Amino acid sequence: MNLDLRVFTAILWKDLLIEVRAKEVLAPVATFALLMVLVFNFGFEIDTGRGRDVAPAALWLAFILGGLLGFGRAFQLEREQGALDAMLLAPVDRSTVYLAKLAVNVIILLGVEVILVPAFGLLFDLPVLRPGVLLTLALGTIGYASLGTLYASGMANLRSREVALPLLVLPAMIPLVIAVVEATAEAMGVSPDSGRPWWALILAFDAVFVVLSAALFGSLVKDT
Amino acid sequence: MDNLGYLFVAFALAWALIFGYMLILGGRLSRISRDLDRDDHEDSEESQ
Amino acid sequence: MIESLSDRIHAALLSPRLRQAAIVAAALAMLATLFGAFIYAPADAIEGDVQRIFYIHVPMAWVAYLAFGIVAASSLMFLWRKQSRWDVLARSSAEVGLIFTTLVLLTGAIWGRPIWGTWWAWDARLTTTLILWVLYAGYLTIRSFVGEEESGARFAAVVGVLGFVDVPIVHMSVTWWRTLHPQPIVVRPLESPSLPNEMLAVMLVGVVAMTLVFVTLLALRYAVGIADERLRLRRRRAYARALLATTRTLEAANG
Repeated sequence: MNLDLRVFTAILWKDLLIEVRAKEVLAPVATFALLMVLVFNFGFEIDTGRGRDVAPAALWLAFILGGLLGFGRAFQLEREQGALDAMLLAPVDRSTVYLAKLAVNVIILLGVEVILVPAFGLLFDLPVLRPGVLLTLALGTIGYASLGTLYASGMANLRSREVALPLLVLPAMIPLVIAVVEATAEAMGVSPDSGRPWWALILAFDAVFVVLSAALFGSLVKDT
Repeated sequence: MDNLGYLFVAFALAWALIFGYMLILGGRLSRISRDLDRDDHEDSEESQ
Repeated sequence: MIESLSDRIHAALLSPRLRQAAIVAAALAMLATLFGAFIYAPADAIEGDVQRIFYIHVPMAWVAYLAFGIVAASSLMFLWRKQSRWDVLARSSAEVGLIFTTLVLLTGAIWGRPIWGTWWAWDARLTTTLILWVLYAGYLTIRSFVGEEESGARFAAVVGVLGFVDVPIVHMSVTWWRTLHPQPIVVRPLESPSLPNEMLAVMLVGVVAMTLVFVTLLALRYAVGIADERLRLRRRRAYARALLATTRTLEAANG
């Protein structure tokens, strides 16, 4: 691994510019996630006392399912014009390309959260702006995006990508989902403090999958 | 305690699945080998 | 060194003689396990005869982890050496491992019903096994989607490595999560802390027997995979030859 900061910022800047101009990912994903929250409320009645316990899970599920739509979209754009292939022709470090793509996805997903989370807090009168909640959201997003970015890039030219991505990402994400939902619930004060170091688990998940994905990305996209 | 039935079902199920899978694999292997042999045969006819 | 060792591994897996030897050994070891489980080992004082499921249940769980470990190791070898035989081995091991995971879940449910009074409990070990099942079912589904291209095989290899790395994290998270929620009434944990020596001995024979069954199935599945690949390669060559012949005929007709 030989990180190249210039390449990193170039890819990051290019992709964010595309997103700002085309608005193909953030707006639809945020809308979808809000819609999910709405639908969940009809099923679980989060607004009443008895549905309070499932509020953190509903928030994360809405976010995760929305994110799955976003990952596929990001790499499809690359494939359509052969942009990724062209970029990989350049003698740039593969791990840098992956980390730049990861950063783009994290920033876009954080953008989704900026819309989703305050709306969620307002709708259900939950204290979402506590530092514990925000930290959990940020750390969880990194872990989620690490696997999502890697798997989506591996499937970019697969026809059944829409079905295939959740089939791989969701089972692998289960430990992260457990940890972030519990950590969020405890930070919101919805469930009592379990004394479990959930953040340590989230951090470990982030570290393991960011490092491994960066290391394996090169063999994934090689000579495609 | 009479729970011998459960024991029997568990062992039967395990063996049925393992043997069934083995039979399927054996069938696939012999079918592919036959196809390979037939291809060999056709190849040698073609080259004549 | 590594190359000659892996040559030997793959040659051994493909040798029909070794496959036959493995079948015979597995059958003998299984007979010994059956004798041990039904006759030699005493009936459990609390659970009665159903506890004898233990002698195949635990060995199958061990084999499942072994199989998925082989998936990860072969996937790494494939990414490193780029030989398709490693890819075939990874895929074969995942399929056999999934069969054993299915059996672990099924025999566990059948054991749980009379003892716990329920087919399923969301206890840490059961839940981990279920997640393991979903992980590798996903892996095999993807394998059927990506087809036979080399890029698809590389993707599957990456998934095979990451899936195995995920397993301990899954187990830890599920263990922490489970202790938060009310536990079902469990008469006794699956493995009692002090296993009588006879039971332990039979269980170890069972582990040997199941491992031999696994080796038999893996070798068979691997042989199928390799033969399948050879057939496909040959068909592709035949197609290319036919195409070339047609082109020549057309050229001759035009020229």
